[in-house]
Order: sequence, then structure tokens, then C-alpha cells
Amino acid sequence: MAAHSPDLTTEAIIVAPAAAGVDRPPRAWHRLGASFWLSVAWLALVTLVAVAAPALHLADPNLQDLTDRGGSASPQHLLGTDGLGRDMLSRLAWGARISLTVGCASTLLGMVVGTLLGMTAGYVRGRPEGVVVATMDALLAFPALVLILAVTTFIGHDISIIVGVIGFLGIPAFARVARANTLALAQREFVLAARAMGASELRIIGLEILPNIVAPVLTFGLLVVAVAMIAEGTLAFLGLSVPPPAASWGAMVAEGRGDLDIWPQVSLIPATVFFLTIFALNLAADRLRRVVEVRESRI
Amino acid sequence: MPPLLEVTDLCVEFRTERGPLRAVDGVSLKLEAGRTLGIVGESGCGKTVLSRSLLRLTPVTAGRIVFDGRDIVTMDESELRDVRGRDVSIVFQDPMTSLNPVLTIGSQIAETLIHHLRMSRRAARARARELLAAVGIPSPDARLREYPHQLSGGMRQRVTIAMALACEPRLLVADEPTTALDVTVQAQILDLLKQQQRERGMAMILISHDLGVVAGRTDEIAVMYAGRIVERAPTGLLFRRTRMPYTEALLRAIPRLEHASHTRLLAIGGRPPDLVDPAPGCRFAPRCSRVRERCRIDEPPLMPDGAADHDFACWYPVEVPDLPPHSRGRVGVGGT
Repeated sequence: MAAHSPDLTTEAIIVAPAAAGVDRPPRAWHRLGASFWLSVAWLALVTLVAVAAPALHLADPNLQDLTDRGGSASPQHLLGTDGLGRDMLSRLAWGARISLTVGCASTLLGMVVGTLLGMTAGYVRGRPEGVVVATMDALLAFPALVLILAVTTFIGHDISIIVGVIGFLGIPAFARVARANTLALAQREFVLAARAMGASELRIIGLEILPNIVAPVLTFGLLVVAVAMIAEGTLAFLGLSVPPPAASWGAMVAEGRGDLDIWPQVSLIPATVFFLTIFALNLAADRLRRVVEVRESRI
Repeated sequence: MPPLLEVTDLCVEFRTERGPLRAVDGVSLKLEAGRTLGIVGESGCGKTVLSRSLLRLTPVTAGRIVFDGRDIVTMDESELRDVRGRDVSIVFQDPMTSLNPVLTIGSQIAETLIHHLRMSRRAARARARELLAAVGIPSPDARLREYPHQLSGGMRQRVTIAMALACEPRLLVADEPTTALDVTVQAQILDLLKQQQRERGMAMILISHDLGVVAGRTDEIAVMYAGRIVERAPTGLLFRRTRMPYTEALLRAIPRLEHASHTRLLAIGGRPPDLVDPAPGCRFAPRCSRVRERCRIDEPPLMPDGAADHDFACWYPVEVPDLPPHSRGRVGVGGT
């Protein structure tokens, strides 16, 4: 096309930088920091003791020895005994089973249900979204303690019921996180690209959206585990969790509070273990969230 | 033979607070198998909406989109999903956002193959490898296992092209495929598209805001302005015998090598019209240097040039010498 040739682009090419810019991020575990790994070590220890409690040949957690009440540390009782002469270490280990089971199982329940609801609401929009959001708002506004009292009074104190109630109360939080992330992702071009390639809406939710919200939901879930454990501890303190004599950290703190003046360790040891565990969970979740967020912003 | 794609009076409207916005307004197009159509226009003229509405990624308000004898506008969802990605596929503008950040390149390409062609995971993986090699990606085996953020923009666009080519579509729509890329990579991607199109005998719609991009790579060009096609002609003819003042203004706005450096570019003054409530008359009239009374009252339809295969929408087109008698009728395509 001679004089009218506006075909400049091909002429302007000098170099062909074909090599892709591969810049690998520094190894993830370096960026997480020492505090993260200390927290993980503590959580691993607690989990290990909880899981292995039956195999550890600890003293019977419910065996009372009224001649050795509030005893200090000894070869038989490494952490001493409580106000009824029961082995503290053993009760802590069995209590960890309850705290962790409730913390993890109820979080899992809330996570699965909440994420599904939030993702659907955020992707489908329209009427279903309105229904989900309104229901979640109502659930958040409902006084949680009243619900728990009602449930434990009328249905029972079984651990599965405790898990169910705390998990149910966790649904709105997960639904919100999932919905917020889905709303942002659904606008991204790769969702449009998937649709242009013939993907159905269900495939888009499962294959395009879900893998993208797994990381934020899981890191948020770690925080929720801590909240759920605190909730269980509070219930136990009020005598509303698993019925005695089963050991639970919250219940142990409560049992020792009458004797704080003579045997403070009976309350303080479980309180310290509880504190360290929650602290470690929060710290780990926070560090993880930051790393995930940095990674998200890179992509 | 009927054309592969025939679009008739396509309209796409969006609801806005101020009323319906007509982003594509009565567009008609024809594209034969294996040929390339360029669609050119400035930002906001409706080219992207047009390209997306071809696969109903944006809902079509009115008109017909007949692809290979079937009307895409009236298809149900499942028929539509079969056409998308298999018969017609799209390469999007920004490869930074059109790939899923948390899936590997390999699984993203394989997914389409498994879905549309019912391939086994293994076969799909092998085919994905071939496709990556075909679009010029070095060490495709390693790339299959990488994530989008590990690739450069140009590489990512090659990946999206590989995905679009996966099911051997008969029509490839490339929506500003190089706008988000480095200038040095642009020509490589365009040449790759052209080469793949020739090898596979696909038809292609190449959308760009840059006449220079489409000039050497298309058989025919349609110029869009404010949701309408204002000029359409075989590529060579469009550049030799530009009739629509808007096209002429676009051509003048291209920097040229033969000009002295720092020559001022001739920008088109003013802004495109409001598509919610367009003024009567020609939509380009407020910015046109040849505007006369009639332009502000009557809207010119897209009319044929009589002799040549050339349509334009203008009452007072740019004067050109009469075609020499021997070249009347269909004028040679490509023009280079």
C-alpha cells in the first residue's frame, strides 16, 4: 500500500525479548518469620499431646485423690494435682482433645456451609444474594449466648451439639469473607475468559472462583478456630459445655477459681496453656494472612 | 457459499441510570471462512462490546448473529456453551487478568480440551504441550507446571492464544490482543496470530484502536464510531480511497516514519457523542472538519460506493479520483 503504509509496528521491531521474566519469590517459610514457626511448634505440641493422650500412659484424668489436693509437681504428677487431687497434666491433655475438637470441627462446619453460601451469593447475585445476606445479618444480630443456652438446655451438652452450635454461629463470618472475595473475583477477566471457553456457571464457581478463595478463607479459618476455642472455654467456664467430670480447659479454670488464694496454679496452669494456644493461633493466622495477601497482590 | 459469520442489525443496549445506552447500534458484518476482518475505532466506540456480544458474553438486545447457519442469538445455554471455545474463541486484551492466577498453565489449557473434546487428562496434557510449542513458548514442558505470574506479558498472551486455539476453532476473535503489551512484543503476537490463522485456516476478527495494527494483517476493515460501522472496505482500498472523514482523521493521527521527529500529531478534537441520548444527524458531525448543515439533521446510512466493494456513512465524503475502469468491481485485497 506504498505511500499509505501505516504498518509501522512490524518495522519498529528490533529485538525479540522472548525469555519470560521468571522471578521466583523467596521461599515462603523464610518470609513467615520465627514467631510463626514458634507458634506452629506450640500448636503442634498441643495437637500431638491431645491426639496421643490415650497412648501416653498418663494418670486417669478423673481419678480423685482427696489426700493429695492441690499438690505441687512430683514424679507422679508432673504438673501437680487439682482441687480434687486429679492429675493436672492428664486433665490438660484430655481437655486439649475437647478444646481442639470443638475449635476445629465447628470451624470446619462454619467454613464449608458459610463459604458455599457466600460464594453462591457473590456469584449469582440478585434474589439469592439478598436472601443470604439478610439471613446472615439476622444471624449476626441474634444474641449468641441466648441461642447457646436454649440449645444446651433443651437439647443437651453432648460435644457434637456444642460443635453444631458454635459452627452454626460461625457461618455468617465465613459467608461474608467468601462473598466479598467472590464479588471481586467474578469481575476479573479470567472468569469472562472461562465463560468464553464454554464453561458452565457451576464449573466457573468450582474451577475458577473456589481455588482463588481457598487461601483467604483458610487463613481466616485459623482465626475462627481461636474464637471457637474461646467460645467453648467460655461455655465450659459457665458449665454449659461438655458435662463434668470430662476435662475441658475452660472447666479446669472454673474449677480452680474457688481455691485461687491457696492453690492459684490449679486455675493458672490451664489458663496459661489456653492463653498460649489462642495467642499462637492468632499469631500464626496473622502472619499467614500477610504472606497470602502479598502473594495475591503479586498476581 | 454462505459466509461463516453473518451479523445483521446487531444492537446491544445497557441499562444506565440515565436510560438505555446503545453501545452497538445496528451493526452488520459478513466474514467468510479463513479470512480476516479488522475492526477499528477509538476507545468506547463499541468494538469490545461487539466482540463479546458475538458469543453473547454481553446480552444481545436485537439482531441476528448467524454462525455457520445457526443463529447464536436464539441458541439455548447448552448449545451456546458448545460453540464457545470450540467453534469460536476469544483472545482478550489483558493477559495479566485473563488467566486464572492460582491454576497452572497446563491445567488451564487442558481444562478446555477435557471439557470440549472429552480428552483424557494425559492426552490433554500432551496436546497442551504441543499447543505451547506451536505458539512459540520455549521449554513448554516446564511452562506447563508454572503459574501465570511466573510468565511475562508476552508469554502470557501466547498462553491465552494457545488456549483459544486448543479446540481448533473456525473463528478467532482477538480483542485488542496487544494493547496491554510492550511495543516490541506487539508485532510478535500479531504475527503469531496471523501465522496460526493461515496454518489452521481459521477466520479471524482482529480488533484494534490502531489502524497500523490491522493494516497489514487483514483482508477487510470495518471502522466503528459511536456504536456504528461508518466505513467498510477491503484493506487496500480503505487506505487508498478513504471516503469517511473519520477514517481519514484516524489515518492522520498515526505517527509516520517519514515525518521529521517531533512533528505534531493531528489529534481528532472533541469527544465521541453521548450514547444514551445521541444528537440527531451524523454522530461524527461535531468533530468533523467537513461538516455541513445536512450532517446535523440527517444521519447518513451506510451506503455502497457504487462501483467498488466499499461502504461508508457520509453525506459529503472525501473526494477521490474515479476508479480507473479496469479495476472496477472487486478491488484487490490486501493491497500491499
